[in-house]
Amino acid sequence: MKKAVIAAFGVLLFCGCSKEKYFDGPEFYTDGFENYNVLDSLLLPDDLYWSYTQLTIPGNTITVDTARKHSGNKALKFDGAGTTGETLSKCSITKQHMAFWEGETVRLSAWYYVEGIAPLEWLFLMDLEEQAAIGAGPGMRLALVNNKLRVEFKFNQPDILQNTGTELELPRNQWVQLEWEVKLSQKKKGTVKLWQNGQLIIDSKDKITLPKDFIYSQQGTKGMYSSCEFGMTANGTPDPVKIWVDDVRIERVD
Amino acid sequence: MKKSVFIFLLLCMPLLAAAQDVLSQRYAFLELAGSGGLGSLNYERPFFQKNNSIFTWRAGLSIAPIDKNNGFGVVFPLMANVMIGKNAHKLEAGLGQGITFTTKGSFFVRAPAALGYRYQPADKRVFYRVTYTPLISYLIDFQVEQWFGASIGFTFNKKTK
Repeated sequence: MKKAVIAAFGVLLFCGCSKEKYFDGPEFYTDGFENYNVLDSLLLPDDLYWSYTQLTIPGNTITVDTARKHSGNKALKFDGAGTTGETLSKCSITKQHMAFWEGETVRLSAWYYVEGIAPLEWLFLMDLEEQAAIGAGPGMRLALVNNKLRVEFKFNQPDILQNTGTELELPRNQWVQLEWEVKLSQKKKGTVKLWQNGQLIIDSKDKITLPKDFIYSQQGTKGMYSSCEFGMTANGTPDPVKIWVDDVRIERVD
Repeated sequence: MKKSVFIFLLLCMPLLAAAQDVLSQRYAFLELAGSGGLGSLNYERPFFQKNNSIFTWRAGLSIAPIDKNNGFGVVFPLMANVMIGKNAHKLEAGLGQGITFTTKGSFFVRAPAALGYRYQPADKRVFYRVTYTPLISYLIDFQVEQWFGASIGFTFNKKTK
């Protein structure tokens, strides 16, 4: 019995000490979608390219599109319905098993083309998340509210908005480059920056940017982000949305 | 006459309770916030007594909301505690495991700890607790979440043979 207790304690200690090794993953990925013809060719085993898609409503589709692209010959097209019932409409693609740890700075950039001119409220475009044992993928995401981008948290932190009076709307029916840079911290030592077409629209310091375990509703957070999601990561509006994404780049920059 | 006897017995019950062995007592309490998360129902039982210290174990039940896609968690806080004090005012400390199962099949464990004050007069069945109850994550990442709880409980006495 004594040996079993010591062994169990040793395993726990080992797990606690080597989380960086156990949850290690790539810190860089880039994709212009030039090498694919169909969606399935993006989703090969072992997260070679992308890991999985979320298509929560029948009719939501992701296709490799040649008609509209930012560079090269292809882009990814996300055609998603609005949310009208119980199920939140999602139409997105995710790269998981990456590893960005506390103290590091991660940058996500991509070119987006959001079709239409109808006002969009709570359309989510880019997520940075952790896969916790218990919880709803806690993390941060870019949300379009009243056609202006903000950073929203999937844990208990207030949204980061653009400065009042100088907010920029997201240009529609044209390609827009979004660059999102986050220094990761479970304490108030994080920073968040967001550029829209090269213009800095959010520059926030002293932020908690990584989730922690929260009572019993969120458990198993590791002080890292491992998952990057692009496309229509959630559509809170009742209207359908068509989005194209091209030239995605995920990297650690510090 | 019957009424008088009934009233007399009611008045004597606390004394009877006090006279019984502490180890034969059983406790049930409702804890708001605390070791069970948002709140929990708990059963507690003493298993060892030495001088002014009473050792107990406690098993609870709680619910943890997650979200629409991930359902909710059912939490079982299991703890070993010690109460120290020779009168109604007791210092209480405890450590245990908060085991969570979600409706989607996930499982995880945190370690609830407790340090607090317990008011439990020997001649009354109702008792109160105010406790500092940090929730400790240790499996993957070591984190300590500051948390507190307040409880109201009831003492049951096992019938002696």
